[in-house]
Order: sequence, then structure tokens, then C-alpha cells
Amino acid sequence: MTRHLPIIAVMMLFPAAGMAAGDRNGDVLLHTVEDMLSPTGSTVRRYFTSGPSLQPWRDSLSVSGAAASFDIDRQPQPTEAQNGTGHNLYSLEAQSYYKLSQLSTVWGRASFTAGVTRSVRYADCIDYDLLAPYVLGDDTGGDIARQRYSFGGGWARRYGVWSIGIEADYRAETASRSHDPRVRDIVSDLSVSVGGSRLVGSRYLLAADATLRTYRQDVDIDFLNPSNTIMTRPYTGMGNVYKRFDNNQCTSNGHNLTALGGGITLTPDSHGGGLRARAAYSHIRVSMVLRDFSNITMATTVTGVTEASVAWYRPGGDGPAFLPEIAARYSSRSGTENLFGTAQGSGYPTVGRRDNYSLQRLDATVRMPIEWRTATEGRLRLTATPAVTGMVREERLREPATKRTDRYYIATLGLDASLSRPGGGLMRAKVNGGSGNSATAVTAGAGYSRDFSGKIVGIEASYAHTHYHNRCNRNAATITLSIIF
Amino acid sequence: MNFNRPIFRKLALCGAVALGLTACSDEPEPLYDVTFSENVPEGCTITSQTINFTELNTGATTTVTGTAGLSLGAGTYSVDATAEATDASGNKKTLRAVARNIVITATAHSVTLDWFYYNATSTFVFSEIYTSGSLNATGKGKLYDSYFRIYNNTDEVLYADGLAICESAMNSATNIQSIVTEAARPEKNFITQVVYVIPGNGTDVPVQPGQSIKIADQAIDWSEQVAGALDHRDADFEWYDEVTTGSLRDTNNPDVPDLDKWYSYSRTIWLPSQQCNRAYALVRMPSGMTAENYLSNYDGTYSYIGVTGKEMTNKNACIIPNDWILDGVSLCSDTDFRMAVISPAVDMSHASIALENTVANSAGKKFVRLTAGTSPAGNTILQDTDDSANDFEVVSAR
Repeated sequence: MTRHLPIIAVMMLFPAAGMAAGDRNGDVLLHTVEDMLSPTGSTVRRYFTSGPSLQPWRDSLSVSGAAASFDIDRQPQPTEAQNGTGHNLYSLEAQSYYKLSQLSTVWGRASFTAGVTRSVRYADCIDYDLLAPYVLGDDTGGDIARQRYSFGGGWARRYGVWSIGIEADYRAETASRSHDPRVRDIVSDLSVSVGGSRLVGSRYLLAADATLRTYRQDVDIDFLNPSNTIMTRPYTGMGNVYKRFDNNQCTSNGHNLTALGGGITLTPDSHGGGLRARAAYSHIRVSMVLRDFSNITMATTVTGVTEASVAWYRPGGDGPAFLPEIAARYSSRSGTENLFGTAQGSGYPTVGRRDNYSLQRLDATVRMPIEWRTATEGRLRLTATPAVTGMVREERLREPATKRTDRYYIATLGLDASLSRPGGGLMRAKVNGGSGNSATAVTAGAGYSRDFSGKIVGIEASYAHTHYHNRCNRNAATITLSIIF
Repeated sequence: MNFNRPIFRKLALCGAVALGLTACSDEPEPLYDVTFSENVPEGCTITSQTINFTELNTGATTTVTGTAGLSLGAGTYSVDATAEATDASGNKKTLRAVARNIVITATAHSVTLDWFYYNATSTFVFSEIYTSGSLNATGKGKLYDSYFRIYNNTDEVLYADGLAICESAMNSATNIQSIVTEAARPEKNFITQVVYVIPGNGTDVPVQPGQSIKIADQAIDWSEQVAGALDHRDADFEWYDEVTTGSLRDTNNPDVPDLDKWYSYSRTIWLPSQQCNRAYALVRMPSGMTAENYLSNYDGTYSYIGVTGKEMTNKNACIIPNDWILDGVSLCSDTDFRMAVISPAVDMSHASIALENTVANSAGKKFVRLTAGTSPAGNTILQDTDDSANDFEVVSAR
């Protein structure tokens, strides 16, 4: 039954899309698609999707769509062994944004993704970045087959100068490996957001939102080889292990996550010019539980994530449009290991704990899309996006005293071009290149969309090449077929 | 721009609060002053000592050279200490003390060191222990082809008659909460479930320096059943269990003398631990001790608190005082080890058949004592530091 849920969800979304398609022609929809895909249009929409109560302003018309994509990623050496050396992922997704009335809006999405993540080592779980550093793993590893089902949707309504919204997302994911060490991971991930916003002054919206997330992953490891010599180890960060439960003493564990978050968004009530800003904070607590030892909690991480972004949009009139944006994200994770006494029954009493792990990370981006549009019938839209992205990451262990600091930056220039013709199609091309202290990266892509009786059918392909200095090359490609109506 | 400034002040305040919440604590872990109590052999004075603490959860180690002013973080510790001392006659002695599962918390932070004389010299030792058994022809069961080899680790002729082979009644893979019977605690006595004694009058079984005797379960040629299996027809002794009930029978080779069976918990045959998770002791029975005398005076019935918290009793056991033991070897796979069943003064660790004890990992493998060197008389000296994890290696029995 679970396997068919995405299909059922997609079928439920499409009638709404069909109703929506009747009230506008293909050109209007084509221009909406063009705007959605452009650097400026996608940035403006991102602020409207940051909280459920702002969704009514995201688009002026109802839009729905479905897409199928294939994503391939290869690198001979992993940048992080726990995340593998690439993947092959196939996905099907559908989404709908539908205005029930001038005041009410609903939206929904469903997707199914399947494929393989290659050569994962030192982590027998998925979502490593969320759960690190306390995971079970081994130095053999191997490919992991994954299946992900996700569903989400929300509702928002305006009441005069006020609006409220609620949104929920659910993800179920399984992962498995068909050779020793055989892993079986099951993830259940639910987020619920509520929000409210108010018109401030004549054209600004001030919104607040709060999110509760509950997540659980069960990890079971098995060996069919009776002469098994692969050792599953409970990692505690930077290659260290929890000695007491080392070497296959524990082959079944769980991760329980609870997160609370909230944010404030300021944005104009239209896609026009003005200031856009968002600040958000989330508090994430993850416990690693050992199933083999009466569910004792081996370790806990607490992560605080602070995100902020500010953008200023100046629409183009006779000249170019500008949308400079500064965004930063700071996260701080601390890890605490519980210490246990002698066995009592089948469990162990906790006799102490040690705060042994910490990770601080700061990501910042400055970018400034500059956009030129022609006002002719065949509309040309050109966008140049210079950007600088930097990251500082410091990971520490108190015992054994270890510290690792990474500093990355990369300066990039992106060029996007789109050409649309009334009654015709939309052609898009983009190229992005940049160089930094640790990598040089180039991305190129092209797409074509065409109106067929009010439905926009499109194909898009992109290729990315990254050269990690003194290490290896990474190549990735994606091809997507879509229909929007 | 038409928005009011207080909004920005509120946004800035929220950001500051959020950043403050993420600040991480750099407070050091609390340390607890450790109080020591030491039990030193009578008349002995410690002149120097080194104490190693290993925290079992994290593997962190702390080494100190005295008991004063030591502070440790919370955890469960193993303690391994050595000391130089002088006895009442002024002779220099080496002492050792071993303690396991010492829990240090804010409310419990005392350590007791029971020092014992550490004498690395040995007489008879187990040079080979093979209890895991070989796979039978079907590959699913085991042959009863276990054996022990006892080695004269001196430069003098020793006599093996009167030596007993004993197997611990408790196994090291069991989670026993506590042993209720004081006399059954490993630091007091060795609790055995079998006593098989080499027959003789004290000088009937001489073993030359550097030579050994082999004691097998069934002294037959096992290769007749499974190609390449062990041939025990060269054994010096075998243990034979006469069984009159049921269908299970022991095999007796009339050409190989049998051990004297003083005691066995089993109503049928004794099969040494194929899981390799018990301790074995080579015991020199006191002069003049008879089976009847022993059984009437050394009953080893003991009570213990089981894993469920319920008190239980084992009546199928005998007591071996620790000072009767010439050599003791504790066996258990590292992943299964839960408790020591022999005094740390006899064996302060355990030898592991494999990291993970599966049939495939353990079948056909034996423990062999490492070689330490050559004696002045040219005999091979086997390593006997009363620390089986370091004294033995695991090799194929074939």
C-alpha cells in the first residue's frame, strides 16, 4: 500500500490542476514558468514559501505539474566517505498550487525517488549529516539502495490584513544493502508548520512561522557470511568509536530526532521591488539508542541552526533589474556521550556523561543577479549572477584532543538566458563557472518547454563538473521531463 | 521604503537570541577525587607503584604512580596495577592488583586494590587448549576431539600425577548481577564443575624439561571420520565417562590410560566448552588428598543473582582454593565477555577464540601459548605472565 501512496497523492492533486488550467491561456502560464525558473523569480518565490501563511502571495494563478527526472553523480573519491561516491536516482514528483478563492489557497506535493548511493562507508544509516557523528558503521561499506516517498501540503487563508497557514510534510524512506554488512534502514520524518502574517504598511508582509519536526530512523545490520570479519562500530566522531560497544557488540540502533524551529519573514506583498528578509532558528536534538542493550541512549547531539538572509529587489524598467542578496547560515552542534556502569539485568545504568564533540559551521553567500529583459513580442531574458560563497567549519573532539578546520570559498559567475515566444516555446540555457581555494566548478544546462493546449511540456538537462584541487573530479548530470498546467 | 524601524529592531533581537542559544558550553567534565583502600600481603611494604585506569566506555586510559590526589571523571574503570615491594625479610617482591568494573560517580569514587604476589615463574602450564572442536562430516555438528597439552616450563623434571584439570562452573559470557556466596567469588576460590586427575603415586608420570603430555577427550584417530581430522592415538591420557543411561556413550581407547574422574557435573560425558567461554585450571591437589576426602570437604554449591534479579543456586560445583592452581586460563570471545570467572591473581585477562564467536570463526581452532625464549639449559620457555590475552595465540588445530 505504501508503494502506491505517491500515485494516489498525484491523482488527488491533478483534478485541482485541471480546474486551475481553465482560467488562463498558455502564454500566461508559459511566462509564469519562465519566471519561476529565472534566478530573480525563484529568489522572490523562495521568500513566499518560507512560511505557510505567505503562500497566498506566491503566485497569482494556480499552477500544477508533474516531473520525472534522472540524476547521476560520480566521483572516484568521496568528499565525505559517509555520503558515498555518488548516486543514480530516479524520481517522479507532482505538485499543485491552487487558489480556492481570492482568500484561500491550498498546495500539495508528492514524490517518489529510488536509486542507489554508491560506496557508502563508516555509516550504515542514511541522513548522515543530520545524525553525525553518532552512527553505526564499518570500513567495508558498499552501495545502498534507497526508496523515498514524500508527501506534503498546506492551506492558507487571508482575513483582512491577517493571514494564517498550516503545512505538513511527511517522508518515509528505506535503505538496504544486498551484501554484508547488510543494512536495513527505515526513516519516518514528519514536519508540521504553522504561521501567521500581517500586512505592514501599504505593501509589506511580516510573517512568523513555527515548525515541529519528529524523526525516527531504525538501523539494523546483519551478516550472512558465517565467517564474517566485518566489524560494525559505533562512531563518535573524527574516526573514534565508543569502545564498550565496539566490534559488532551492537548491530541494531535507532535515532530519535525532535526539532523545534521558528522564523520571521519580511517581504513585499507582490513580486515587485523592495526589501526581503528572513531570520530563522531551529533547535534539533538527536538521540542514538542501542537496541541491543535495552534501548540505552549512547549519545545525544543538540544542534542550533540560525539562518538569515536579506535581499533587495529593484525591478528593471528601462534598465536592468537587480536582486542583491546576502544569506548566512550558522550551525553549532554539541555531542554528549553517556557513560554506563556495570550491567544490571539486560541494561546499563547511566553513571555520567561527557560533552566530547562539537561542530561549528558558518556558510555565507553574497550574490547579485542582474537581469535584462526585452519588451518585444519574443521576450528575451538575460541574467548574470556573480556570487561569492564561503564556508568555515570547525570540528572538535575533547578526548582525544582533535581539531579539524576547513575553510572553503568559491567565486562564481552564472549566465542564464531564456527566450519565449507567444504561442511558441520557451528556450533556456545556463552556464555557471567558478573557482575557489579547493575546487573549480562548471555547470551547464539547457531546456525547452512548449505549450500544448494550455499545458507546458518541457525537457531540461544539465551537467556539472567539479575539480577538487589535488584530489579528484566529480561529474553529475540530470535530465528532467515535466508538464505544467 | 515604508516599514517601521521597530520591526527591524525586533528582527535583530530575535537573531541575537538565536545566536546566543547556539553558543556551546566549554565547561570541563566534573572530576571526582578517588579514595583508595589497599590490602597488601602481610609484612610487605610497597616502595613504588604504577596504576593504570582504563575507562570501559570510552577506552580512555589514565596512569598514575601513586594513590594520592587522583581525580577521575565518571565512568566504569578497569584497574591494573603493579608495585615493587619488600617483604618482611627484606626481599624484593613484585605485586600486582587487578580490579574490574569500578564505577566512579559523584557518589561512588572508591577503589580497593587487593595486592597479590606476582610470580612470573611457572612450573606446569597449559601449552595448548583445544575445546572448540572440529566440524564433523556434515559440517553442522562437532567432533569430540578436544584436548589439553600440559607443558613442563622449567629446567627440572616434574611429575604430572596428581595434577587435575578443572573447568569453571560459570562462563564468562553470562550476565550475572552478583555472586551471593562469598566463597564462590573468583578472588576467593575457583568454582569448578569437573575434576579429572592424572593417576599415580606422585612420581609415576615424569615430564622432562621442555616436554609435554597430551590429554584428549577420546584418544582415537578422528581422521577416520573426517578426512584430515586430528589423530589422538598418541595421547598420554584421555578422560572417559562411563554412561549407563540414555543412548550417548563415551569411547575408550584401552591403550591410553584414563584420568581419574573425581567429579563431573554431567550425568553423561564431559565436553569442554565448545563456545570457549569458560576458564580452565591446572591444579596440584594437596599431598594425600583423595577423591572422597575432597568431595566431602570442598562442596562448591553457590548462590547468585541472575540477569533477571532472581537469586539462583547451582549445586553441581566444587571448590578449588586459588593457591592450589598452577596455571589458569580464562577463555571467552571479546564480544561475549561479561565477567571474569577466575581470580585476576591467576589470570588477569582472557584469551579470545575470535572477536565474534561464531561456529565458523571458532571451529578447528586452538589456543597455543606463545614462546618467551630459551632457558639457560636450552629448553623452550613458554610465556606465562598470568595474562592470557597476551600469552596465547589462536591457530588451526590441524
